[in-house]
Amino acid sequence: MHHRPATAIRVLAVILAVGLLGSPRSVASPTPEQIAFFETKIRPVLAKHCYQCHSADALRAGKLKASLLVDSRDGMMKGGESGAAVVPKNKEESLLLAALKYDGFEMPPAGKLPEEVIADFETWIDMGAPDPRDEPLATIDERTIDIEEGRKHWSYRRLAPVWPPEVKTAGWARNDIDRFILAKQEEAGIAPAPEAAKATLARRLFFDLTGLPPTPEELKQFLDDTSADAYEKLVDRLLASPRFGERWARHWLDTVRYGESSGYEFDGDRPHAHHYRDWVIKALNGDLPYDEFLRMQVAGDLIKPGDYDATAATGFLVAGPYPGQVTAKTVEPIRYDQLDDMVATLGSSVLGMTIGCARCHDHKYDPIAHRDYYAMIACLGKAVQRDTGIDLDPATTKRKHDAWLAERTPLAAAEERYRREDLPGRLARWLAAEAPHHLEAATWIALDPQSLKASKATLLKEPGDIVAASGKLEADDTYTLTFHTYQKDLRALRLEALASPSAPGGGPGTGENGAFRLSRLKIIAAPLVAAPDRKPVEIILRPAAATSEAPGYELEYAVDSPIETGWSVDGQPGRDHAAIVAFDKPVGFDQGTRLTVELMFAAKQHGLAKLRVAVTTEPDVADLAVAAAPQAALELATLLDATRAAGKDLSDDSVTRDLLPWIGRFDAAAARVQADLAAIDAKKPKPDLLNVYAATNGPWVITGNSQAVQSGSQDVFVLARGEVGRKKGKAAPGFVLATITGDDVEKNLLSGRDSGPLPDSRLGLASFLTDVDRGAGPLAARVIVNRLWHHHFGRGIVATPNDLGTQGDPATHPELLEWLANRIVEDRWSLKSIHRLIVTSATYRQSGAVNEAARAKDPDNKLLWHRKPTRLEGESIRDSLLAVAGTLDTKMYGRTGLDVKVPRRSIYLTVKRSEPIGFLQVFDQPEPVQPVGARGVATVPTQALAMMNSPLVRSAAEGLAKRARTTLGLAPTGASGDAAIDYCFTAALSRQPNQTEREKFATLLAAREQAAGDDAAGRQAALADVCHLMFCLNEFVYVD
Amino acid sequence: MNSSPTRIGDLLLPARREFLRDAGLGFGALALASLLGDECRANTSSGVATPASILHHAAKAKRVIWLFMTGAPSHVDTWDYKPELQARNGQPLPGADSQVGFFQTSGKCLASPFKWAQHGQSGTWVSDLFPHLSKHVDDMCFIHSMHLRANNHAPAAMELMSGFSRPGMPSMGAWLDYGLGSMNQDLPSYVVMHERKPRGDDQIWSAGFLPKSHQALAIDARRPVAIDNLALRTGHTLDSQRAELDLLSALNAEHAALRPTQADLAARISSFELAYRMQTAAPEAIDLSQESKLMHELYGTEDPKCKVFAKQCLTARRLLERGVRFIQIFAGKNVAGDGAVDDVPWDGHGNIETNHRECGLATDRPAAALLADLKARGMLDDTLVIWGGEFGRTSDSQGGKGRDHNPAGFTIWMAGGGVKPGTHYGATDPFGYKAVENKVHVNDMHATLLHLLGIDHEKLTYRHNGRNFRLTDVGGHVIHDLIA
Repeated sequence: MHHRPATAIRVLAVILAVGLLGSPRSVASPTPEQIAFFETKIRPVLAKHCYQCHSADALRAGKLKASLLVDSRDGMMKGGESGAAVVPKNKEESLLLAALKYDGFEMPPAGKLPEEVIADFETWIDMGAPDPRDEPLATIDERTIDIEEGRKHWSYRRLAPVWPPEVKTAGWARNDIDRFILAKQEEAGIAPAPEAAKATLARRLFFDLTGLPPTPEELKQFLDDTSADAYEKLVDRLLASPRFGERWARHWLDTVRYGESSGYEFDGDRPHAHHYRDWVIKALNGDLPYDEFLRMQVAGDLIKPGDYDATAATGFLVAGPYPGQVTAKTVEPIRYDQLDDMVATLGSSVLGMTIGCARCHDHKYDPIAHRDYYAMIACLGKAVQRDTGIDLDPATTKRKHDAWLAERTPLAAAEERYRREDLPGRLARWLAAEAPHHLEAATWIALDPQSLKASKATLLKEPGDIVAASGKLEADDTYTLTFHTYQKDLRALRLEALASPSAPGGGPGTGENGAFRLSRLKIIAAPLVAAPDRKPVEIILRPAAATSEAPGYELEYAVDSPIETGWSVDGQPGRDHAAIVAFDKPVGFDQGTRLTVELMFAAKQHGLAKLRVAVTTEPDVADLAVAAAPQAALELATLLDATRAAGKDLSDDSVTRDLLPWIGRFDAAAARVQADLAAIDAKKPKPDLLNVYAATNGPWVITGNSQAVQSGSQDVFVLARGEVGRKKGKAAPGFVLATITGDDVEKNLLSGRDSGPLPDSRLGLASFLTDVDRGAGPLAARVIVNRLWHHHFGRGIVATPNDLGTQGDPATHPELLEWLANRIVEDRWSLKSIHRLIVTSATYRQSGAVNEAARAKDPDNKLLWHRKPTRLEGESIRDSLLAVAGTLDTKMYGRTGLDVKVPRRSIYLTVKRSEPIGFLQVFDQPEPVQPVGARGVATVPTQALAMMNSPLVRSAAEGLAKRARTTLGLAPTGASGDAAIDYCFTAALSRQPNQTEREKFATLLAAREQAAGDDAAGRQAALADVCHLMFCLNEFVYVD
Repeated sequence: MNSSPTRIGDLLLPARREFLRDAGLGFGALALASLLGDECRANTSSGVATPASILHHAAKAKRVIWLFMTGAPSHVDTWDYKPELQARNGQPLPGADSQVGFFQTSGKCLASPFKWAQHGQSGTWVSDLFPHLSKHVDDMCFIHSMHLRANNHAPAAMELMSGFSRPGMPSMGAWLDYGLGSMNQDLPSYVVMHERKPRGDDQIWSAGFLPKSHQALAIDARRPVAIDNLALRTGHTLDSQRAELDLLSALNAEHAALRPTQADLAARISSFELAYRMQTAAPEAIDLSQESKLMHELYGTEDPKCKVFAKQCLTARRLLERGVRFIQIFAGKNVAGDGAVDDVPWDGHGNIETNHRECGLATDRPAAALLADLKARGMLDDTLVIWGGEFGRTSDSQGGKGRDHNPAGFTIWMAGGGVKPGTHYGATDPFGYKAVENKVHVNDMHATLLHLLGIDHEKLTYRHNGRNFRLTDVGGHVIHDLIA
């Protein structure tokens, strides 16, 4: 085990130290008084209350708890699983004291010791914990779990070949499954029930495989088919129906705690999470081999990067609930909780193991070590949740890109030609004739924006380097402007807030009286050409001057951090204003600088209608009004100087590229080639990306409540008692040792073909899960065939589908389970082949007839001597209502929302953790929080209320009534009669009513119709009342 | 009664049958009937439950009402007077710990801005936030040393309700319904009332992995229709529905007779009868127009500052009278201001004074009225009232005038239901920063509550995913010092 070597080394160190130096911790020997204190106040208490579980004797008796020995000094100092029990002179760190105070631990468990005794321990620790007990520390073999023994548990063994047993009764068995079932029954002296009636079988099969009742036409088709294999043909038809995947995906979603929101506080939506659900439906309909089905869910993003299906599949890992509000203090525990959710789900759903139990300590019952838990989460250590953009049609993307490139090439050539052929001459002319005029000395340089962006308003350039806001002139906007400059030694920036006749209040602000409030001004300087010594910086600003400051809203409030305050001017709508902020040190990179200026207008305050930004290289400028010179001429001059200084000339491509934007201010041809290229570049086609909520490898960034918090690393540590504060060293990737054939298998499964380590241990985890020869494949096979059995019969061969460990229920038919597990592996993990085997068996086709002798011998029907009625799940009840009403929309996939009135199948309704769908919840839909293998089936009056009074059931009743009257061609005011009753009854219950039933409904119908008189709506409602009552029948929700 | 060999999570079969007979057909019983499957039929003939038959020992409390102060009130501004903190305003807080709190705090003491005085025979210090409740201090039993693990609202609320700071675990009300069954025939056992849902929503009052029959009925103060599907459909009367139900019962009985191995079929027939009765019983139970003007005045249902909580408290009292066992009211926000968020009103990060002043006004009078009313009716003796929030708040300031979350120490009080009146248990340090004396973890509190209700917390278990779960997980000690 992982901490065994460390222990050995430590013990060795202690021995050496004792041998050479005497006891290492008794630097100052205890005084006789201290020893007396220990012997009278401390030792008796330890002996009486602690030694029973924390001594060498306890260790020998196998009763040692928490690896803690308190019968020797070294044992106390070393402590147990959680750390040192006693730290001399440090009461805070001494866990023994905390335990005595019942703080965290509670010791002794029988009851808290008296306060005075605890006070003695405090005194003793304060005096340095003098302890004369020099006995050597007993060596604890911390590996309490015997892995070899653990590997012998039935579900962890390799698959063993099994042959169906001989049976005495001839002619009953239809396939091998039946021989296993019959043999057990014969052993118990009971006989199976006869085959159910055809109509019963049809209803059973339709609900079981598709979650919907047969339509009257489908039922008739089957009943009319007298061929010997009519049933088998129906099975094949239903297995091929798209409805099959919708039905069985819901079972899988239960086991993987599928949800479409994050839970906890705020319960943020995951609008792209449904792709996982859609993938499961598609995978089951397409009979994706189960081993592949698992591998994709664990590592699809790594196996097929960029593939929609593979990406969506990994939604499995990250479907759990995550806190919606994260601070630096909680990011790490939350991350470990996420990993716990992943591994616990993986354990329960795929392996039928309660791995989550080993988070704090070795599993109490199953051979799952604390170490195994951390080895497993280390495999998942890099997996984080993210919306991954997927290009569904890369071919089209490439075609569009090629077309765009064809259009761009001549324009790029024109631009290049200009730079090569025209630019030198143009520059020479500019220098000779125009430059002197433009290069007048100016204090302020007006910056020409390169890009403009606002979160709400639309920002546009106007002549004179002015930026004007239009469109949504609302409060709480943020403007982001970028500028390029080759000037260095920039000392200050001037922001002009200009009057704007078109603004509501005439400017300078977009508020009603021209008001604005600049909450925060942020300037970032970044190099245009990257170099190691050039790092982007946020410039530290100092308020220097402003034309006006409203009291309490001085300029200084725009450069501090709280956004509730800021700079406003004092009234004066329709007038120009300006403010200067000085830089704490000169700014400007070699080869140019990109200035990003962010203007934030927060706290329900407005932004600026028109503005202009200028900079200066002169120190201490407070001139708010003097006009600024345009930057182009200056930048050209600066660039040409720099070119010359660098020994370059105009044959250098990078030089002409830099110059071109600025000469464009003076030359139309330069401006045009540049504009043409910019225009085509703006049209560069973007791939049409579909966001998919999925797992991906990345840093631990946890976003919630608009804050993103990142933890330090992706390393996973072993945590003592599962506590983040008690790290015990890095965890190495690995697996649950009891489920692999030998300890070396870990390394093999984590290695690639070339024996080097896999690029990611998650890939190793994926192969581990499905490796039949060395890994957990046999277990995964047993778990899944048991799940299928569970859903077909209402109870698994093991009745605890999420737990095939020692605490799970024993298998009723262990050989059959083994045979099915072998079978699915032989059938290339085809789930449909197992479904087909099960539902075509004679066992499955039995009737519900009760043989009292069998019942007496096996009241729980564990031997499956008949078919017990099972209640439909909430989803099937709702879907049936819609189907019977004729309103079911069979559209597949996509995001539907929470509106229960949308007539799509229930699996498509959004699973929002804080807002469960009432109708489904009342019928036992599990909470999407933990894996659920077997749903509860409770009977509560709120279900009856929903059936009697909910709009959902009523509208279905009205739908069926309408359908009946239309189909039968009844006159609006005519009586419905027995034909209508028969029609509705058959649609709802897949059989004709018997005479009594028909008469009872007819009496009710006649009374209601009579009361309605000639009122057509009333007549329709009368038949709806009858339909409504049919839906309330037990038979509607219990399938035989 | 100690005579029964029954443990609730591990019921012996004869005792199960006995329980079902005794418990009638309340929600808990129905669920058990379905849990027991073939082995047991629901018995429809008996009356109101006598849960005593399944108790581990004599119960002192029969029902619980938890006034949940959503958002977490500051203990040092309400019930935990700290002269040292008052004296050192603005000075460094000794022992300031970067791990306490959720955001960032200043490390400097923030004195309580409220006026403090002693009240009652017990001389209990109370801030002036509670002019009404302070009259009842001699009925209250204070725990000043509460602490828990979670340091944000949703996980902490889950921890307080279920013992675990993550979703998916059964809350206490569900455990009680599972363990004790129902005390009434036509109302649910476990009711939650809220205005804006508290942070964590339904996850806080979840039945977790317990059968869904134990889930809470949530009554949203903002909705005109308090309970779903209670109203008859248009044009329908109780008589016409009765006729339908008679027909339904007859047909269902024939169906069930042919399927004797499926016991749920009988339970389902009964569930329609119970639903039929609920249609009249539930609206009556929450109909405040049946209360006198005096009652309305006492609770303050017309006072705009507190009317939402007042109506909830008054409704709760009616439900308690009618046999609802566990009620939880999540106090909503009545008055706007202070940037406090609707779903966590007491969350005074920005300004403890203005925030708490408003929350005090919103809750003080109705809570005091409930205590007085229960007492006057003789119900306080066996009704346990609990007052508290998710956690406490830091002794140091956040942003100048506010306080951050503090799960390291806080106060709750209980009254009635067998707790020692007028007592104070446990203590925080002199600054109110951390619980130091007789620390009470939420597991201990749950163990004590279950004990008061007649349940041994170690014996109330439910098997789930390979393990027997308890409300108190692997911890919990009954604090006998709190019990009268």
